Amino acid sequence: MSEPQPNPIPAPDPLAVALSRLEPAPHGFDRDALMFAAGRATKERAINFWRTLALAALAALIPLAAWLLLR
Amino acid sequence: MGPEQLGELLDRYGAALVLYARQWCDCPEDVVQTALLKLCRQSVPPENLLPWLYRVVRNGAIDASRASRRRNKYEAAAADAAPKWFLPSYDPSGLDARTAALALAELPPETREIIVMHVWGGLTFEQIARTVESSAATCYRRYAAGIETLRQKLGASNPTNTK
Repeated sequence: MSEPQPNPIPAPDPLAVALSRLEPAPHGFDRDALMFAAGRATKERAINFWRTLALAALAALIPLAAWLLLR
Repeated sequence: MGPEQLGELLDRYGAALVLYARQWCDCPEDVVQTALLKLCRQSVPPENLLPWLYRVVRNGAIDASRASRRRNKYEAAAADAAPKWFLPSYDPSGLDARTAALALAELPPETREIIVMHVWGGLTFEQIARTVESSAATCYRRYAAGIETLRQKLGASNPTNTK
């Protein structure tokens, strides 16, 4: 003899089913622009790293160049 | 997250996320786009992607709504935008999109958001509870009460009465 299920899953409400058949209005995304922005966001950390490194190198080069010129 | 995954996410959940954001603000696409870009910036993807995404969209939409109110000094009435929530329904036996949207717009926001997340977003009550920081039982109770209110407003038959 099989035991009854303690918490049987209720059948979906017909109104909820009817509501789910309504289709949300389509979104107005510019897919290409979003993909471009997403690619940029993904690489943001790497871009920031190289940008900081380049600035640090430039900051180190300026006094060195000044010292070489004034020597 | 790669472009393919993002495209898939957009195709699958984009319209539902925009509908969810539309409950609060009049710039839902911007809010969803910001949330998707935030997802792309995550070095480790969130463990529960959908609840995370819905929570970020929710916070963004509420912030956008506050900013909009400050700018306009007028409360953006959700009901104004309600008819645009769904595509027109061509099924004569189904619900009328505009009537359903208006009935939905009249629900309390905390009930409406649960119905939107469950019916169109496909989230479970556990996932909804994580999004709105409540319990699954409370979310289910609100959902059931909201469906009951909609049933009265839309004049739909009660499944318990039809048996």
